[in-house]
Amino acid sequence: MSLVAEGLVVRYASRGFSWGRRSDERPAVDGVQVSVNKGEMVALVGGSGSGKSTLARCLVGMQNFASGKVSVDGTDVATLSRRETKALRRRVQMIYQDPYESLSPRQRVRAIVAEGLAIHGVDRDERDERVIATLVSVGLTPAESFLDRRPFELSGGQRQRVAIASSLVLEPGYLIADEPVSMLDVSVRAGVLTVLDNLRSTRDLGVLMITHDLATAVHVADRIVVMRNGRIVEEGTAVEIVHSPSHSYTKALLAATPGFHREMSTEAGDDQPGHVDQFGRAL
Amino acid sequence: MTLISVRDLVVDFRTSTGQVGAVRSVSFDLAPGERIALVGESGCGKTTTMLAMMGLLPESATVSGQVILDGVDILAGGESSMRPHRWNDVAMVFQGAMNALNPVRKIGNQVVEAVRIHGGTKRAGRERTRELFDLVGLGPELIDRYPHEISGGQRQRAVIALALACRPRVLLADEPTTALDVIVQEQIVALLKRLSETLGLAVVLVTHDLALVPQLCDRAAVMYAGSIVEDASCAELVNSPAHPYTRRLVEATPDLEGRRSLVSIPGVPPRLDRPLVGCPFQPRCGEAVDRCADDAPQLLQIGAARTCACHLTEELV
Repeated sequence: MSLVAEGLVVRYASRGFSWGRRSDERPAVDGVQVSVNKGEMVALVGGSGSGKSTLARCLVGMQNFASGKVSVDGTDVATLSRRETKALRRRVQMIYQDPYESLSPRQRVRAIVAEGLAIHGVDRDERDERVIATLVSVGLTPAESFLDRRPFELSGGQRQRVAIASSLVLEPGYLIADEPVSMLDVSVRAGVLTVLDNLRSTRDLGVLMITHDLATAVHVADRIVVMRNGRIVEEGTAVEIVHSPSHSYTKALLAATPGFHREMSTEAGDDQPGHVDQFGRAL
Repeated sequence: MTLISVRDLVVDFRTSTGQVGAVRSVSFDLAPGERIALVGESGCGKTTTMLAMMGLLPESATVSGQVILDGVDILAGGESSMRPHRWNDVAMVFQGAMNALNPVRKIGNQVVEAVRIHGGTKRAGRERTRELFDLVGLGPELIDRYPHEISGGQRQRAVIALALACRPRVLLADEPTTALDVIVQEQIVALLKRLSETLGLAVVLVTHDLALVPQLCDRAAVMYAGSIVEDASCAELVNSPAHPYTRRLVEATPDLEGRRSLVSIPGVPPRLDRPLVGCPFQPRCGEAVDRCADDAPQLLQIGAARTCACHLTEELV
């Protein structure tokens, strides 16, 4: 049982008229193969513009792709009817980066979390019960005290938990989390990551976490996939990636990741070369 | 030698719900070329401290204490005493400034404008722009680009160039790398370090990311609920944090080794719109003793160049 993308290619047409200039036709996602198994956390790591988010959008069905295939538990998404697609969407849910923007400021937590249930036609009577159970599972307890609050009454960490709850309430098999902690204070990041990790093990959830921070990836992910320029350049277990990276881009990412141990030991080597920029050009 | 010194800085905001004590007596000194960091969670007063040093707080703020530059308190005389020093001596890179560049003007012209406002001619402005672009590692061909034509890292460099236009001696950098990916982040940090070393620029880095601090700074002050709770060298702070809050921050920061499990800090920082009784971290502190609840610890010297505000470290004095 897994969520699989095979040979995925996404091209964005350049916008508008370009005065005879041929624009760079490099695809945003260029033949990517990636899979997430049930009960597994995979981290998708890469710099800005590497195609991480575009790939994620393909996986949840919010992005058309030029070629390739996305399948959920063996079912090719492209072969489904509209109704079947909707049913399938329940099984792959997304969490966005910024809980200050992804939650409607006018809705209460109850309505935010129940929205998916309403869309998918779950009985009104059943909704509250499931909302409460979901809030509990993301660590918002006592859940009843959160139901009638609005986002502005919540801290950043609490908001992201609400966002996770609203994705989780439909009991998906897979969760795509796009930079789920980068907008949060360091002090609450660990809590949100722990929630994701617990869901992975207790609900057998497959999680694809997009991040540009290798250190975070190393802490929670079973497998790390490194992307650059729309391609996957390296894939391996967290230990393999950190201790024996083979691709130069992975090495550059590792070297640039701030960490205590490394800083303390390499204080003499201030003037490290700037490695490569986000497009892989040497600086 | 001290270049700029902040003494007992207190900032209160008047709001519709009452007085908010955003900064509660903050003091630190900075020598030329020295780099320090202010670290803490959102809402602990880091940015407010910086804005007070620039004299840029809104009318609703009441500021007391001193900001002493070259032995003179530039806070005392209000706007008229602050104005000659703002940008000329103390400059700031605001949080998210790279997204605040004027989208319809070429970035070079935005730098020229800054120079002209401070009394330079257009020609001098253009010359200075070329110097500044060279200084921050932007090619001269970027002078005539619009902000949308350059990358985030290049925009951040342009914003640093803007801050340096009037040759300040102190640079306040508020979360200068938050929106950038790690590779570009490292480049910006390396740039700030080089500028500080070659120009003798004193730098204050404001960040919530403790892991970033040792890359740039020699010393860091950890802020909590408007006060500095620990001020120490980066090595001390990371290897042997004295304050329980610092310790929890270190534990919450992911590290490439990854074997250490991440621990979040339970609870939330205290509300600043009411008086704080006892140690502000006490409700979230796993090590609190009885007196922490009603007796606020003072910031005391616990090492050669190290201070900490915690009852548990008082015996180290």
